[in-house]
Amino acid sequence: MATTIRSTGLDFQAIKNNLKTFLQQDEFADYNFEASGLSNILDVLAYNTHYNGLIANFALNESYISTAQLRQSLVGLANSIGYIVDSKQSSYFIADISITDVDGPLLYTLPSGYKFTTTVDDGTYTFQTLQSYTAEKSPSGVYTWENVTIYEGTKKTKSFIATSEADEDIYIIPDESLDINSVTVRVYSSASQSSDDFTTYTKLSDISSLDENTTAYVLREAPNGFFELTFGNGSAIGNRPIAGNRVVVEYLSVSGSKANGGRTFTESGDLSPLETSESFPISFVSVTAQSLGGSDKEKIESIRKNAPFLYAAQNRMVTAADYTSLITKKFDSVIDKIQCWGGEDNPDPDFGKVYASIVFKFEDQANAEELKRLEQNKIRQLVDELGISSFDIVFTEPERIYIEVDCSFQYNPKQTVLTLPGLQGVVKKAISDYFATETGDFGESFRKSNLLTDIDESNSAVLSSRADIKMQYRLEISQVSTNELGETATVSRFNTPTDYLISFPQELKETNSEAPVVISGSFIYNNRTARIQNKLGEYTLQVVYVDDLSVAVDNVGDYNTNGIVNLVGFEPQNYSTGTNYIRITAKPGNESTITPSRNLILEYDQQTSSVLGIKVSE
Amino acid sequence: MAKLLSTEDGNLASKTLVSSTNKTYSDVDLSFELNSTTGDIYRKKDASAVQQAIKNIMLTNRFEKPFQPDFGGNLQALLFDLSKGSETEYEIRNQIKNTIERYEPRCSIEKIEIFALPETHSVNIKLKYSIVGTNKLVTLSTNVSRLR
Repeated sequence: MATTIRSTGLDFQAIKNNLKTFLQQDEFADYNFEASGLSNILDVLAYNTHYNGLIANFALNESYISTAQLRQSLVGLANSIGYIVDSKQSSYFIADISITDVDGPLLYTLPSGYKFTTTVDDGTYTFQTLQSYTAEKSPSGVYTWENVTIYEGTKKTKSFIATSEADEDIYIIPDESLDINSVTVRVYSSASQSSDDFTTYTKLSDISSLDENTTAYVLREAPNGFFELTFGNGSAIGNRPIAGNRVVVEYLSVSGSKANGGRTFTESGDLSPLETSESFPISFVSVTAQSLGGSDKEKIESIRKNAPFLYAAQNRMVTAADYTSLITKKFDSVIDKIQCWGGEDNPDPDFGKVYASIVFKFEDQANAEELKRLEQNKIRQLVDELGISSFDIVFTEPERIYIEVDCSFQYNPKQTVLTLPGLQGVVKKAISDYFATETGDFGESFRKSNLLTDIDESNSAVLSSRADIKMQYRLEISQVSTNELGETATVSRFNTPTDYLISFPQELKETNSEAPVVISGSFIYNNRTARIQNKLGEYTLQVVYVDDLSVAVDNVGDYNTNGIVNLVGFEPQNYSTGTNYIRITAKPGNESTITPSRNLILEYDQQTSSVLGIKVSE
Repeated sequence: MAKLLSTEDGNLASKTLVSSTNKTYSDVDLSFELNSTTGDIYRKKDASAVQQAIKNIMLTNRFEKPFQPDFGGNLQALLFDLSKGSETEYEIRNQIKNTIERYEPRCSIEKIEIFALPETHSVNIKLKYSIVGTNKLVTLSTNVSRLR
């Protein structure tokens, strides 16, 4: 958190003592007796000075984004640099819905505003469609609406009559639960709300050019938590309603994150085609995932962090950092981690493209792939709106490099009541804690010296420590293919010669005649257990059988000291029992620091790591 | 070089030397009434300054004085459960004694008498004390009562 301005000069007792020193003279003498009248007068003076000093101090703190503590101050400061603070966002779920009506018409409409309810943590939440969906009747009389997005919230409408231009109207929407993304603004030419004579205004942040004909609005949170709607000035910065127009604002009043996690949804009623009075129950064909994406108003620390970045980006995607900050801002409710970089930084430079690697919050849900595709499409739309160059955005999956730690430490048994296994447990926990705190996100580096410091400080009996570090990649013998619709499918590559390129984030050790630098975990090859390792003293990789170390394949690729392991025509028969990947482990050339680049994330592999305590007496 | 004394001083070695520090107390009069001659507010001096301070202590409740939450006799809370010869009288006496000893070093308490007057929801306090460093004995008698 930001450092606040120090207030030591505002100490009550110091102020009182200063006043005492200043006032002491012959006329009165009893300043130093706490019960005296003079002391009472000094209390009043010092308290007043102290109080005014604190108010000045707080006011100054609240004047800067870096030191403000009140949300309303941060909202005002962020507004002044053009940053629109996130409102609550609606939770949603996606479902395929069907209804059977053998005698129904050819086309059947699921109307906008059709409601469903769900219960999360004893709270009941209403979801509804925000647009109508039309389905065609199947030969068996079934209508199916696919990929229907259903949002949580209550639809509300506010109407205003515009006054004269001189008034520079600000329209107040007194609802703290408004979802800023659900708002539609229509301006009717007369005070009566005629259905076909209106202009729809667009959110200013969604458009890239502005002139006197632009019909754009700005909706932002006011310091009191409500929302303020403003328009242009009628000339250079956009059109505005004129006196007598009716401004109609429709929006969802939402519950935010509380509505996330709903699994069972109940429809509010039966549907009936227009032609008959008969109604029919609807049924869910499938619900793709539990409700998600709902979020609460932006927290003050998030505003403090994001507002300056967004100001620097100026709502334009130019640099990789702009892509990261603008995508994070817009999709904060579904994105857990994100990293963007220019294609020119790839090992095989890919100019004119921006790469993004994203860990979504819903990765562990059923049908996460489908949700991911939907969110990626929304991100593409955002890039089209805000990118000033014709750069394409390419999504790549995050890849994890696991760190193996073989740690040995010396300890003095007289300085602890713990047994050796107990002390080893303490050290293991220190290692796990280090990785949990320092790694796990894009760009977070591993530093061996910091790890050893944590180990040394884990218990007073630990005298010294050392660690051998290895990097591990988990190779899946499958390939992901994407069709023209963007749908992905995973294809197994067992018993099929396939090339694999593994890029470690650190240079690898030079080969030597003592031990392999690259070595894999076991897998099945020719019905025997085998592994990959480099020939001693060479960079060539071989497949060898584990039981007698005889060579199965003499050359299955190679590695180089730049961190690349290249497998050529590798065709294992299967994984070894109990795993669904093959570990490829390599020794780094420099163990001190490992910094993941692009889409790599470092994590700790406790299973293949070891901790050994060595007793010394002192 | 010989040192000479004045005729008036005579032989100092044969005389008794008496020294004293004349310590006076002076405080503003919290009634803030004006002296009609000078136009200044009145001063409280010596014993009356101490008496004003003792009254201040007795009439102040805890947490009233900024940043000194323990200051004050805290008598207000005790005026709601009065009966003659009750524990409340004992408690009032203790509160007054402890607070004055802690916050008013200029006096030494000789005697405290408490008379509860339940019918008027008030207490009559008779406090006998001496001013430290003098032989002056002062008696202060005051009534403390509930406002509502």
